[in-house]
Amino acid sequence: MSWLIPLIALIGAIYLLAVIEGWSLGGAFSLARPARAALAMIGQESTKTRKSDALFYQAGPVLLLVAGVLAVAVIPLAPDIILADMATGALFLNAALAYVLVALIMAGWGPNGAYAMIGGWRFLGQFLGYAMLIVMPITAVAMRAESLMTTQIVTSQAGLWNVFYQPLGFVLFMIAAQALIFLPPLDLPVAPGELAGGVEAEYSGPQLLVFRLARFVIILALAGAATTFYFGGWLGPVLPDWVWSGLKTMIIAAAMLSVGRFLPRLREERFLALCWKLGIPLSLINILVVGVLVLVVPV
Amino acid sequence: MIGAREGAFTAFRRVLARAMGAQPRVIVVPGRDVAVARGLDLIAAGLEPVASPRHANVLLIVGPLHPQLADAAATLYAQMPRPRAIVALGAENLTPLPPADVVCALSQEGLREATQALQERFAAGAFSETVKDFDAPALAVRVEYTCPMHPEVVSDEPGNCPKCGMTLVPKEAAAAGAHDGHGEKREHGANAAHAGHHGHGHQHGQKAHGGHQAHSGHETHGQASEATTYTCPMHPEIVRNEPGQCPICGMTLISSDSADSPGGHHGAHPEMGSDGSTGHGAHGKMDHSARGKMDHSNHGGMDHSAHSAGTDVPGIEPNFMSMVEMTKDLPASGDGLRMEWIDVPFGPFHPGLPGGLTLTLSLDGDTVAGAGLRGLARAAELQAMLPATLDDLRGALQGLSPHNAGFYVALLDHAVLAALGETTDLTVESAAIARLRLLGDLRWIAGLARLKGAIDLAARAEGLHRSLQIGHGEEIRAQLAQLCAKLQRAPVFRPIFSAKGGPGPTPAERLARMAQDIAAFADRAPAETAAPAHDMTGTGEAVVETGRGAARLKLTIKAGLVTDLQLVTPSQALAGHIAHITMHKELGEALAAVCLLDLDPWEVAQ
Repeated sequence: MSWLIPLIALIGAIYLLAVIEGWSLGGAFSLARPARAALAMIGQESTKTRKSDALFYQAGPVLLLVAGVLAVAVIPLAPDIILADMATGALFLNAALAYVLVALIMAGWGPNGAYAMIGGWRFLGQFLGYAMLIVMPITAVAMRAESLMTTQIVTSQAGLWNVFYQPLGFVLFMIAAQALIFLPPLDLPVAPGELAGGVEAEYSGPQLLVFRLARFVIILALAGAATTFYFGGWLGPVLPDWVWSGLKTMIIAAAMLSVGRFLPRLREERFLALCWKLGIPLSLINILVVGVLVLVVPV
Repeated sequence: MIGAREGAFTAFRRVLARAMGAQPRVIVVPGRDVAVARGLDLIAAGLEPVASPRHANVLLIVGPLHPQLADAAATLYAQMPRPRAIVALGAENLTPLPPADVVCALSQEGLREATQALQERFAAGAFSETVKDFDAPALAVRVEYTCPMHPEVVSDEPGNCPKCGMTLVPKEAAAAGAHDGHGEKREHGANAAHAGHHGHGHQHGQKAHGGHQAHSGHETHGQASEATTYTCPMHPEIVRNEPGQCPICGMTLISSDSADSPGGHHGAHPEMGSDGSTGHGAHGKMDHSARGKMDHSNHGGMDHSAHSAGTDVPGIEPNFMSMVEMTKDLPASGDGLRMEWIDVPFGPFHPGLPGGLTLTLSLDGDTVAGAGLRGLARAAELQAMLPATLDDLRGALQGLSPHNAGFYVALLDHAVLAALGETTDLTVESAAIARLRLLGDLRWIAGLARLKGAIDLAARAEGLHRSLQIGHGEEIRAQLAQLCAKLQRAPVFRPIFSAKGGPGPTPAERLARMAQDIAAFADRAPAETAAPAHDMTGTGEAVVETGRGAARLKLTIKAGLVTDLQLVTPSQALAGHIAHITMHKELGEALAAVCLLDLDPWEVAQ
């Protein structure tokens, strides 16, 4: 039954996140809102576009959900509440999230619609930007922990959280995370104002529900990863372990969801230029600095 | 409910139906900007606006549905998943749409009532055993029948082929104006020579082996590109009449006919040497030597990998699965890459553009390669109603455009006054016009912010618009000034509002004008003129500065009837620049450039 608690926590967190999203998008704070939206989607037809590529069309959202659940599996809520405490946890997270790209291109190609297709290919470009920026900060985190095991990474921060130990890496990781789950201002593949939903535009009813659900799972996985890698996971005084990691994760996820409403969308070529010209050199510097710190300052 | 979903109304479905009605997701026709202009607040009324019809369950029609938009609205409705409902606020004739499920007045109160009514409609009729299909006329597909062996045999009815007797198979007929991949737009350098070339690759190969004479294909090619120029693969602005090196990067210049397919098939054989005499084991290569000869010395630094796979493997047809071969007839874009172009319509109900405006972009990847614009051309309707009384004309102008009706009416009043030879109290009038301009500016900002996904800014601008509209302007003067200053200074918004060189006022100029208007405006609509005498005669002209430029109206009144009228609006002139300002821009940037122009679809011609 060790999987039951993380699963319940996951469902609860997703619901809370959906409430926060509804709130941040300008609606009132309503606990019933996500439930109503989900029920409404279940009741609707799943429309199919003409000449769609049925396999890609159907599989896209499901693959996105699978990628999200796999990524969540390696995030520890407490030392003993984790779905899979792998020796290669941090690497596995990356591997799982690589399928986000595949899922989005499938969802973009499948419906045989221009908006969706442009959205899918846009994400391929975006991937080129964030791919290195998500791996390299994790490398620096693993260097300090001397392990890729997520639980080990948390315990390595007992003296000082990584957000203070390697703030540069944290900033880069969060930018990459925002791009990975295409949240505004890096929501190029969905871009409601430009592509009317992009990769999401042709999905309706239960399929749309799966897509939205998958997105929340991945947001949670990334916020959980940020908590694990930079905010000392479950470490904290007084309160129980799982409360700390849950609280930190929710705060980061809420920040990820709401930061975009204040910023205009970044243009793709600008994002790529920033990532490659600035982001990658900075993440290399981060690795160098952390390497020196690990050798010289024992914290 | 007409848009019910088929199925029995089980207990579980009752719960679902309640959830749908409690939180309707709406798609607005003609657009959210029109809803704002009409003073509606969708979110406050409990509706959730969405961007795609697939995500919506309610089609909300705001104001009278223009006949030109009716077909598009029907398509939008057909794209919505069932159960779906139509709400008409102040709209009557919806054909070809089915009749509205909820009809209310065009006001915030009406919108609230409609939300209530929707709840009941969904709860009572979201599912039904008997449902009727709805087919939008624009989506109807014509099926034609054709013979599998003789594609030239096409018939409207099933039957047998008159040539071979085979049963004809059904096929979707291409829609009118269907796109053929832009083959005609940019012909390949020497198309004729080319076609023959690939068809007889083998033959060419033998000839080539015989010592590279008589390259008929090559000859033709040479003639076809008499005026060969040389350009740098990286710097297209460098164009020379002779081969040589690029002055910027030092790369070898390539000839113009190969320049439209770099990495393409002339450029793909460095290993052959310029005389093509070495390494000719496989015959497949030859067809390139013929053409490539003249260019061979020139392809430094190009990507040559494209070709080798298909041609070097014995037993495989030359050009099998060759990217070059498959793309040779496609149009080449500015970067020389050959890709299929697609024509994508944006609008008339696109979430990022003014509602009613249809922008058709030819997209080369995500780069714009051509643009067309279609509006509603309502201004032309005025001519048709002449001669008309002033009251009729005023009514028509008021209903002309939800965005700029205020300006038109002010124009009419000024023009009539001019015809009477009177003068207006300019200070009062300009304060009222400044308010109209501010309303337009706020909608312009909200539209741009929606396009760019800056939801907070959009909500703020729309909120201020509402306050200004209901006459609470004095209370929000400070907030307006703050918003304007923020847009002028904040670094995050600079990329949007710093566009230069476009037609009309630049965004920076418009913001500067907005700052002046904020200081000057007064909370009242332009004064209504006293009804002129019924038998008045004269000619009057008036000019009003709108946010996008001057609008002009010239009236000829004879015995109380307007006999001639000329209305010149800024959108008409700005619309002509669309192709120019979007060309070679990335899609999002191109949409933003169009949005910056702040075109009024009701003014733009077809």
